[in-house]
Amino acid sequence: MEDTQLMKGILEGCVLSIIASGETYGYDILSELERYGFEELGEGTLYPILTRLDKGGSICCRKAKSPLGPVRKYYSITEEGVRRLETFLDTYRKVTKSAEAVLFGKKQREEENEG
Amino acid sequence: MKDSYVWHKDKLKGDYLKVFDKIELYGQTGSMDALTYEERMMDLVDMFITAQDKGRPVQKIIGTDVEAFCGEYFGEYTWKDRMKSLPKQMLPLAWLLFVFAIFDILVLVTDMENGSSFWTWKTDASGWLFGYAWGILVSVIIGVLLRPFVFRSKKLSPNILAIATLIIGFGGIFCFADLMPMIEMPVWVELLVSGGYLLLYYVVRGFLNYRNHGSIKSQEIVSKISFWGKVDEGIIQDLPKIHKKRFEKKNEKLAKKNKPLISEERYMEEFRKEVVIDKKVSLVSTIIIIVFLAVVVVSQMFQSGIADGALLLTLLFFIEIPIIKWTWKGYKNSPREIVLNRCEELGIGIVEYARKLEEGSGK
Repeated sequence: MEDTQLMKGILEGCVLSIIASGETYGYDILSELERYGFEELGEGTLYPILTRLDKGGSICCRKAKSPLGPVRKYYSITEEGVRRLETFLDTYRKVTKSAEAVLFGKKQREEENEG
Repeated sequence: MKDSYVWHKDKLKGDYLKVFDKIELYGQTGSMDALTYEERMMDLVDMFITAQDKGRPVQKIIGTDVEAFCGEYFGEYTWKDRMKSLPKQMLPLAWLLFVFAIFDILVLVTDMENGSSFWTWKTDASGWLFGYAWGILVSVIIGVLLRPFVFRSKKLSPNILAIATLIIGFGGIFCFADLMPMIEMPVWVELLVSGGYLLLYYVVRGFLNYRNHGSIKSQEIVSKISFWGKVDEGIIQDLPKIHKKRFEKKNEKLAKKNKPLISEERYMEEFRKEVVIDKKVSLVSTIIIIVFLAVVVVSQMFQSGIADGALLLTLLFFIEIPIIKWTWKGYKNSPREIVLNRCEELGIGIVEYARKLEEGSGK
């Protein structure tokens, strides 16, 4: 997957959506993203996203000892985060609908005309 | 005592450890403040240990370019982040000054019969000022000099960085400390500044904690490792294997002499007795050291006064505390006792536990 700017915008919403499902932690979020097809994402990409969301008040974290020893941050969504996620989903639907129409609409019309 | 990522690093092996060392070196040669750096490294070590435990290659977590990963991971650190952590960073210095101020006052008390007054009593601030400034300068210079070599040199490691910092740090103090001019400061100023800072810090922290979660106590620290009982997981994993080898060698010798072999149950019984004896010896050693410390300090107080006794107590405290910690750990939370408890929980002997660890199923 290329196009870093596009990825960054979408990833933040996806991470927020995963956290909205329930309290979770870094490795779990990475695994979930990978399961949905976001491959080759690392902690280096995820961490800045989590930091921005935390600073923006969209998520909060509590620290607790992980089963394997180190102190782990567990993230959960805030009310502000819920509002932000709703806005993101709304914007995402509108943008993808318009983008698909622009990017694929012309080709589809051509194919229909040929047919 | 607060947990640190350093105490979990020994769980990393192979590629995970190599990569972690490079990332650690990169972080230590940067300009990030110590508290934020510690937090980032703790997050990373947790991620690495979890991924390692699940058998994933480290490249899946950080990608193939470690340098690029470091740039992203330690990026987005602004001057606002630094300012935010500054009050907490200044806390140890404030406590140190406060303790020095108290000692200066104790010395003043013994000198009051000579006409000394609280308002005119002065202390020399050049020592700690120089030490603090020199420490910052050394870490910045070493960081700037070594950063270009982090990914270009295979020999450069966090241990080498630590040794270089210590040598230059202490070397500078020994060479230049005497050249510093005296900077006199009234003791009451030292007390007011440090005590005032501490009071303000804890009041503001209590207020913010109360506003955020209804209690003046901080909820952040949920994990502490007992200063007396830090557990080294590496030793705990190795100990059963050492005993298994010992058991096998013992039986080899007995077999050569045509004597009856020791059973695993009998060996476990001997191990159990060893642990009990170790605990008793550790407890007695700890008591002896503490009693010795008390006798020395009290006799000094009778001979030379309370102030001298207090100063001696502080000196001996820093020297003796690692020894007391070591002997107390032998009593309270020794690796041998932990291994014994794990064997008993599983209902097996230490030799069988070693076999399970070698197979990878014992945890």
